[in-house]
Amino acid sequence: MGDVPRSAPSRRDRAILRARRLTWAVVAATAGLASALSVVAASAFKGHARQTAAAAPPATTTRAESRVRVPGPQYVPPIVGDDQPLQPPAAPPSQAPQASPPPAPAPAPAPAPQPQPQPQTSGGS
Amino acid sequence: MTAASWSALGTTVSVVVSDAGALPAARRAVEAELAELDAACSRFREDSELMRLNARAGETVRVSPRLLEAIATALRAAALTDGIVDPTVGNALVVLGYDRDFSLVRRGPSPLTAVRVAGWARIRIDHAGRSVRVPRGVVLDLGATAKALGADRAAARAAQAAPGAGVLVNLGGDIATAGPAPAGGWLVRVTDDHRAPLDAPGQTVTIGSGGLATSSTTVRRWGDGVHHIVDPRSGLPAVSPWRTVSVCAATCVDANIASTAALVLGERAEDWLEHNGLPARLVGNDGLTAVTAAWPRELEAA
Repeated sequence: MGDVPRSAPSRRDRAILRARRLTWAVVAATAGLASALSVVAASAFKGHARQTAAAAPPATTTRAESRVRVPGPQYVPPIVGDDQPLQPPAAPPSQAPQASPPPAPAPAPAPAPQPQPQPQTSGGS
Repeated sequence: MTAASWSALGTTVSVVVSDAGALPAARRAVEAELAELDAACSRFREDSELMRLNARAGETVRVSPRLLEAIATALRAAALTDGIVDPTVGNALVVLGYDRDFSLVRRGPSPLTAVRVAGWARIRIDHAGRSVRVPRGVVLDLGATAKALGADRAAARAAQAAPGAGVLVNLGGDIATAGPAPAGGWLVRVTDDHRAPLDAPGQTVTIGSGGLATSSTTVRRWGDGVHHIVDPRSGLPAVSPWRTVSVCAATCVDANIASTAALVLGERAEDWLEHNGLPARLVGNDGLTAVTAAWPRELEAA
């Protein structure tokens, strides 16, 4: 068997160490970037104030707050039931036929005519 | 065809049925309906539910289904007429002197005093909870719609009690029909006063279904220019170029809403009726007539 060079393990250890550092750097950079994007996103959408101290109301209204103000409750009219529009009749009224004069006396007895029903009166009351 | 007439609600009631055998049952049904209407909606009975509601103005009050329906109908009328037919005119009528059954109202000259009408939008009605709140100081008057609603309900109830028969109910000139009409339709004479004889000026028409109502400033008067149709905008009796308006509609309630609104609308009435497709006959203070939406032209002078 030939000799293994003494420098080989050392190079390998250094390579592993570099890879480990690189991995940590990538993980840290990713976490930092994610945090930064979260903050940007939180500020970009309506409904979030910049201040985190909720207990202390701001002394003045900022421009951002005026944009994100939630409108008050809408006026709700009272329920008045079914407001179906006025409905015309299925058919308009017709002029009633004029009462015809009584027939001339016939030589032969004819059947008595059906009496015309009395109209109902619609007027002011 | 047979009929019966009697007095109720301070006016005359007639029921006509196409089948003579159905008359007793139909009459009983109409009498029961009108008794319930009077107990719920009368402004002249101390024990009516409406009077108790008015006495508790400012409170939310649970009411019967009958009164709830009558108030909802009145508010619908107000909504559809932009407040021209408004149930909150009660105070105005009282101040004008119409504070008791009309047969007992004091006649003669009296100063016209206007009362600001509160407006129907201030009435709160909860259909689910069956409750109503009338604002403090407001008196509800359902006179513009309750009688017509009663006619519609009475006709339907009578037709139910007399299956197969056609029924016409005439409640002081507010006419409602139900069931099959007789051959040629129901004969109705429109005129200024529902108590007028058949030879009084007017027009006779036939209707096949639905309702027909007439509003007039020539009746229920108790002073010079004082009558029962109040213009909510002024709180005073309506001043109109029309003295009588008759309207035909799918129901007596709709006909009555329109005839009352037309009187108050005055010059705008014809356009409004045409816009709503409602056949109507309008009689001016000079006796000349106008018609809208396929109401038949007269063959005789008014």
